[in-house]
Amino acid sequence: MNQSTHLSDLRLDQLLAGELDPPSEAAMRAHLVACLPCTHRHGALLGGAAQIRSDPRFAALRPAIRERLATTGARPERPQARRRSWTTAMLAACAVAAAVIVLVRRPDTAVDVRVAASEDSRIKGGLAMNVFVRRAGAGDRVQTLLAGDPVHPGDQLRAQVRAATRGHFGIFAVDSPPPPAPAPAVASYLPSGAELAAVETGRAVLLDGAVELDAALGRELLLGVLCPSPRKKEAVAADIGAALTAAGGDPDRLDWHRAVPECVVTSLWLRKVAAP
Amino acid sequence: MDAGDAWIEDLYQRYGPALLRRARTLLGDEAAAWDAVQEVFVRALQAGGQFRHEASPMSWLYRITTNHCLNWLRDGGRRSQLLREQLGAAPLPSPDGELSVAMREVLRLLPREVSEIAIYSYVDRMGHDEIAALLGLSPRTIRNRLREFQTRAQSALGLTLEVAT
Repeated sequence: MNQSTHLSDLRLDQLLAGELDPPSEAAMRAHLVACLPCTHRHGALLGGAAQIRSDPRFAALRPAIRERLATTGARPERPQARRRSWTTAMLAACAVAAAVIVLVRRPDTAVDVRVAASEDSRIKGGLAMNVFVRRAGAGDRVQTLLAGDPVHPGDQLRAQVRAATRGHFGIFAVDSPPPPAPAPAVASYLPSGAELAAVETGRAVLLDGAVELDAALGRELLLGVLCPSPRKKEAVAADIGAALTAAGGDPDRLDWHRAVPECVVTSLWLRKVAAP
Repeated sequence: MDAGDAWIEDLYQRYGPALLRRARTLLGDEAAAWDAVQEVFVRALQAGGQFRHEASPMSWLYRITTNHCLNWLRDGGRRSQLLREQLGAAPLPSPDGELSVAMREVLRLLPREVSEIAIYSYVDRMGHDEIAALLGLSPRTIRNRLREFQTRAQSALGLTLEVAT
């Protein structure tokens, strides 16, 4: 973090490269949730990296590097995995969990900052949605998900919402499986139960239940929906399904802002990839 | 693909985009930026042992990329001469965009140790403490060199730069 309290490009690049230890990563993620300029910069670096990876010149350069290495006789060896003791891992997990608890229980004024600060992907019309992931096989390790973050089959998601007006909220998911998989379907994720969860003005609500991600890989669009009156989750999912059909079944073309009549919708794209 | 190839592939996917982005920003020349990625990767992988023991390969690659790009700018004397003729009231560096022609010229002209720190401050938005940790220098030295950068940039090209905090 630089002295004007924003994250440097180096720190963001280290986060994107997966280099940070769990406490540092948790601290950065907490900062990103609350800081609009850093969230934008993170998104720009993430999007820029994806664009570069999809550039044919990027794939074409790799063999040239290998060839150069071969001619010089250099033969890098894969590094040994670093060992972490159970004690270290447990301490790190506790630090991350503590960071998330602070995030959830932070006084209202601090949450207001987050509501105002994260307009890019998770906020719409005074609606803030934070999604947390507990990694499969990672004990109590919990992270706040940011747009584009990878998730894995077996990961568990929970969510917190805060809205500028009272209403009823739920989270829905649209898979975007690579072809030739079947057309995407809409799933009701949270809360548990048949109805949307009641949300009071300005009060952070941790939604009941958790969702365990299935084995289907690909991109997944999470939609947070805030409606002015009580509604069945099934009815909201049907509205989203109709909007998806109107978009030709393509989640990228889905006009999710208007997918559910009379309701405010926010979104978060995730990437579901095989566990490392 | 054997283990070594898989490792190179992993490194390339993880670090390549950041390397290219920085090289594009620093060089302002698309072909040179792609060349820079190749050079930096080859150099890094040839020093495989050091790569393996770096706590943050990204930090290490930042430094190699910065040095490579500074070399490229300094070697381009004739190119820079042409650029200098275009300077006029060139815009100041913008952290979000490409470096201005004027900024590249300043980086080319000033001592390497000053230019390198200026890049981390103005381009990579690093604070004094972070730059100090990266280079193994004191924050005070970083502040002094950034002041030197500001002063010399001003006298060399008539630019006014604010020292980042």
